[in-house]
Amino acid sequence: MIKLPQSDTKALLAIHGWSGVLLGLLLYVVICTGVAAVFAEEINDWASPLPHANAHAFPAGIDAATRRLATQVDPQFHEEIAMFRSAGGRLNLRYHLHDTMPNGKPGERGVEFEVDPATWQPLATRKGWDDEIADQTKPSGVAAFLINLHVRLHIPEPWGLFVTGVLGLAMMIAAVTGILVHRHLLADLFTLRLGRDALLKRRDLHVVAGSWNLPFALILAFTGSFFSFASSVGLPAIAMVTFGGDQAALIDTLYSTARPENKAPAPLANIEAMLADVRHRNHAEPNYISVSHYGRADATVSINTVLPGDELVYSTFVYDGTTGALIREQPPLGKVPSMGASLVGIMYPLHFGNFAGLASKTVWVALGTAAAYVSLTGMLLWTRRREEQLAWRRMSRVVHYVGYGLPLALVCAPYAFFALRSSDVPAITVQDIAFLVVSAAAAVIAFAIQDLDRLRRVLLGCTGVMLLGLPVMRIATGGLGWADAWSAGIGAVPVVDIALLAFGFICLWTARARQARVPAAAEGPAAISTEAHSA
Amino acid sequence: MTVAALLAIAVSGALLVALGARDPKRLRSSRHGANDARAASPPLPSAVRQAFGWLSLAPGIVLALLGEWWAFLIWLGAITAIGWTIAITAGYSSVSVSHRSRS
Amino acid sequence: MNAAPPHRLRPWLRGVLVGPVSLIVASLVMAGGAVWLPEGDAKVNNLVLPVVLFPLLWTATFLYTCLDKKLARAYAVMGALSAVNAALIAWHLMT
Repeated sequence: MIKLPQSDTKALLAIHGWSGVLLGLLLYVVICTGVAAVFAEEINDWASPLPHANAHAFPAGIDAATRRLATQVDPQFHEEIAMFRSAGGRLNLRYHLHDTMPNGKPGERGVEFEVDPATWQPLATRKGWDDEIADQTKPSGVAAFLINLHVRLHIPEPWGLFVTGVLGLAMMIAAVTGILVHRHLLADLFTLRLGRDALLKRRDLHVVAGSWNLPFALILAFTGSFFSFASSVGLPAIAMVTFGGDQAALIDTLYSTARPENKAPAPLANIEAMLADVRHRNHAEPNYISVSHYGRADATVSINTVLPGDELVYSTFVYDGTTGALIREQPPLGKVPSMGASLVGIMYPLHFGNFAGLASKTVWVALGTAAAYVSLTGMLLWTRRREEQLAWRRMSRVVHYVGYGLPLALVCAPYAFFALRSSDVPAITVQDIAFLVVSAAAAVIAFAIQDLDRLRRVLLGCTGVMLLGLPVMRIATGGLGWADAWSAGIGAVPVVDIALLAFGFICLWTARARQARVPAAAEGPAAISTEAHSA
Repeated sequence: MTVAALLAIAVSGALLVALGARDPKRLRSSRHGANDARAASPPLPSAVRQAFGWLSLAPGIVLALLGEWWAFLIWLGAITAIGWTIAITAGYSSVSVSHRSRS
Repeated sequence: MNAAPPHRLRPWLRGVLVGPVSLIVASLVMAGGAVWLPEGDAKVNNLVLPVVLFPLLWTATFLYTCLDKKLARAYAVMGALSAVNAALIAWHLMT
């Protein structure tokens, strides 16, 4: 495609290869967990359903519930009330204030009520700072574990975000250098020389998958880096230059919906009337409500909805909290539309793939899987080409361990969630422990099994078995059966169970398939039998 | 707009199938080592391949020009997934054809 | 006693350039953008656009520092970018 001097091509290929092999393992973790996190809401609904479906996030009764619960908290926590749908259709109402944490950073603390919006019965009450409330939150634990691993690799802030930002950057560099070094990118789009030399086959599989995945890789790498760097590097730097280091002031400028201060007491207008108005204006279902200065004359109610129809950028509807009148429809940032607001707004649908419901999520999962495939095959190709060196043979073993062991560890984590759901240990912590224990076991297996193809098949087989067992574990620990779920209209339960069973069988079939195709004559010495075939 | 997206995907997908099935480099690779080279389809002429290539992008360009970004993103994601699937399917079917003609 | 031959330092100098220097320069260009970019009607463009573009900035500085064969020239370019943006930021903070 692009003709470059040979020296430049060699340099670019070196950058492509080394950035991939040095950071590829961690990038693979981020991509795999990201693929799973696309269906975070469905996963949470599967893991922690209520006995009945809730068609709307904020049904009738939300207004009365808000006022009743407000009487049960310290009035200082009336500064802001956040209301949002949680796992299984639960509704969380968090009464909180903005304060400085003991570590000097800005944070939020308050009281969160978890209620069943069908009956308005309280299911749980949690108190403390944001992180403490998150630790106490059980129903959304399965997806929270995946998202935490994806966003920050469980590394404490701000380093976790910085690391994932660097990984996104590495993905972008790999994509850009891949375009530049591949002189026949378009001509090779359909070229897979699978029946010839094993190395050539591996190279073609990697190149073809990478070429087709380029637009998606660039989009995901760019948006992912943005999300990671924005809060870890970007906002602090911009705040330093423009607001003397005051990040709270910067955030206020970008997101504030506040009105001129007026602390005189005044009752809140009916929230349900405002919700009805939003549904009428935006033709979309509300999914987030924020009430500022509840009980005061300067109260505001901000309402967000799911993306309506065929739009990509969300709006916030800001209402006068005392009269219920619409003040303005606000873009993602600032108070009037701007290029900056549109660019930031479009980052969300591009990264999360949730702009068209199941259709876009399915496409994003397919392409995310391809990205994981590209990452894994690239590392396998690199180590295969250098297998005469001991260090790269060892690296090849590590790649197999991570490549096929990570899915196994991820599948095993929810077992701990289901088993210890009623314990006081945070849901993320129990899954962390399970993940680490299984990872350690997989490491022992990876060390013990010399033949890499056998290692691949063993890890895939174990993953298949654990996938098949997950629906059983869910039901055995008190989860809804398919009949009950279907009759209650909770489709996520049987659908996710069936998907797990299907993936389990695919893993088992894939683990067996290579055994039947062990080469009889065409390939050659023992070294070939240790090569790992890509998935 | 869902219909427009599906229509765009169908048009581009059909052209990608044609491009993949009659890709000259893929056909040359599949004939490698095979005894019966006559069994393979002839490759598309270069001018036709170029026309098909541009035409496969046309639905997306139309969606973008109309400002239908939602549909454009769905189209973009779908055709890259379809293209990869075609490449994999064509690649593995070429292997089986080559093995059968060798035996 | 002989001084270390320059060619032994080159990989280290290149590594420093490609690593921390390219990051610092990209960060300075991002921060400097907040000073000179127009605010726009919503008065947020100069705050947000540099942050949105930061991944591209770092990709550009990273690849440039990798590919420029002349190490001195690469350092000079990075130095100039740093100096210009640091001066912009300093001027903004002092006024």
